[in-house]
Amino acid sequence: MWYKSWVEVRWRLVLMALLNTFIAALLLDDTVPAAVWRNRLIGNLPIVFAMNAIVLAGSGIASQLSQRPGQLVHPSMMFLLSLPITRSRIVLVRQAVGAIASLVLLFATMAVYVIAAPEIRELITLSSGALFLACITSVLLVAYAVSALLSTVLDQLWQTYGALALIAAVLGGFPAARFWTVVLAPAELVTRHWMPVSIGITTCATLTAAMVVISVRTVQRKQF
Amino acid sequence: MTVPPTELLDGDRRGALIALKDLHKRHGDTVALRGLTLTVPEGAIFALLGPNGCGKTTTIKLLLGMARADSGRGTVFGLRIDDERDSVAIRLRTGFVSETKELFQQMDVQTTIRLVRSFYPRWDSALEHRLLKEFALTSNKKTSALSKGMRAKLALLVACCRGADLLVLDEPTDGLDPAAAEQLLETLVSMVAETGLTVLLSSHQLHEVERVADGVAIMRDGAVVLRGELDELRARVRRVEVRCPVEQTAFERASFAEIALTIPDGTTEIASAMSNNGGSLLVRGEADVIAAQYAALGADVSVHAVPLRELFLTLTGVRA
Repeated sequence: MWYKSWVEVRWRLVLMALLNTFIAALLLDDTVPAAVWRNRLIGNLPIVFAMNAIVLAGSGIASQLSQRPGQLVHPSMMFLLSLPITRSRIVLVRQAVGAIASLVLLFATMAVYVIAAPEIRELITLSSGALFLACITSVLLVAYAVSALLSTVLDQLWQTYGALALIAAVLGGFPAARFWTVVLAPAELVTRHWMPVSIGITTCATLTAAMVVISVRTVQRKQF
Repeated sequence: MTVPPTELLDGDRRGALIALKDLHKRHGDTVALRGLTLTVPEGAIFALLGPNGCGKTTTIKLLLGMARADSGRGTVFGLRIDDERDSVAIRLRTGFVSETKELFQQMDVQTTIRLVRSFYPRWDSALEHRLLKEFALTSNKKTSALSKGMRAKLALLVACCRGADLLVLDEPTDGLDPAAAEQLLETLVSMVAETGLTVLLSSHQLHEVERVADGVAIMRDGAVVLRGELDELRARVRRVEVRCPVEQTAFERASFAEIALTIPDGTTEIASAMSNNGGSLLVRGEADVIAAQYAALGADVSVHAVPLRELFLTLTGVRA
């Protein structure tokens, strides 16, 4: 199942890696002072990583499972469901592979920025960097879980619209999405914000867990 | 908790590999199954016959845990089909070939085999190599690039090699050319002969079913309308043709059409199309006894064997 899920995720991962490289090529400029980097880290990168997560969570097994009862299901779905594996494992493995891919993308991209831009090293200490990553990871997982949930409750066409709407929301149209990605993720860097980081991380973790549980339950109840 | 099959089922259903009782299933406004009751004995090739939309695929989905019945009960290997844990255990011992013969599209032949093999501790590698050779499957070819016939062969390979006790095949030869269909059926029959596994086969191909199946169930509108062993059906199902003599009066003809037949024990009237001038009856059992009752009234009576095709067409409503 891990391999099957990886096969479903790998092209999305490549696509998102290319997107991140393109954005990095635009942003990385060694003449830029640390203050500008602060804005870039706060304003742009959480949004990019959230987009990565949304795209990596979509499609795959989830979209195949999202057909309504009595309708034709994705052809390979029948084959998958005939294997001796529980539906919860099918969903959890697929979501785990997508989430790991999102995190790999996050850490790899951040490493590139830290290595390529000395100003970032001046900006953050090791501990604040670790905390920044913890915050952004928790936000990323919320975005991931929302997208994964959409792909279990909507059919294939609507989940594409849902993912696009989610990306649009993250890009700045929807205040709540901006709150999660722009305020909470860089909480450590933006010290003027009152919300304790731990509460934010706990809230994100709870939301993520709740949405994963709903996804699994939805798939378990699905009829084909 | 797994309910033993003896609690679920009664009488002659005990010991059946598949036992379904009074299954009902709706898809929205459409009734897919209405009180389906069916047993499949161990070690048999058993065919589910019926027109499109009669509930064959829904039955298979219920067996494999892909859908749940609205009501009714069922077991496979004595395990409940509506219990998730039991369903996984059922699928561990069951090979399945879907109607579309689709596999994982992004994978090549070898990867597909490797992936399926990882789920089955009883995987038969020797059989895998034999079938790969027999079916001339190219290991590195993507399954999406295979023809439907080759996909069917690969699907059959991964279904057979898992060391299953039960094979469920949904329209296995659908869309295959005659040579591919023949090869697939030959493989199936030799597998059953070698391993003694049970096969549940859904098909429209009556001539193929007559060649390979031990038993059949004919479905119509979500229920089984006839079930039996093929040899028994060949031997005991007869069409009784009755023609009323021309010289009889209209009154005599009317009463002739309304006569109350005495049906012997163990005999059933499967279908009847009688009018004042005569008609025909499909009878399972003592057809001669029925024929004699009409003959006693002065009618011209003849008794004929009934091919599976005619039985199918009559029971599914295509032919009156």
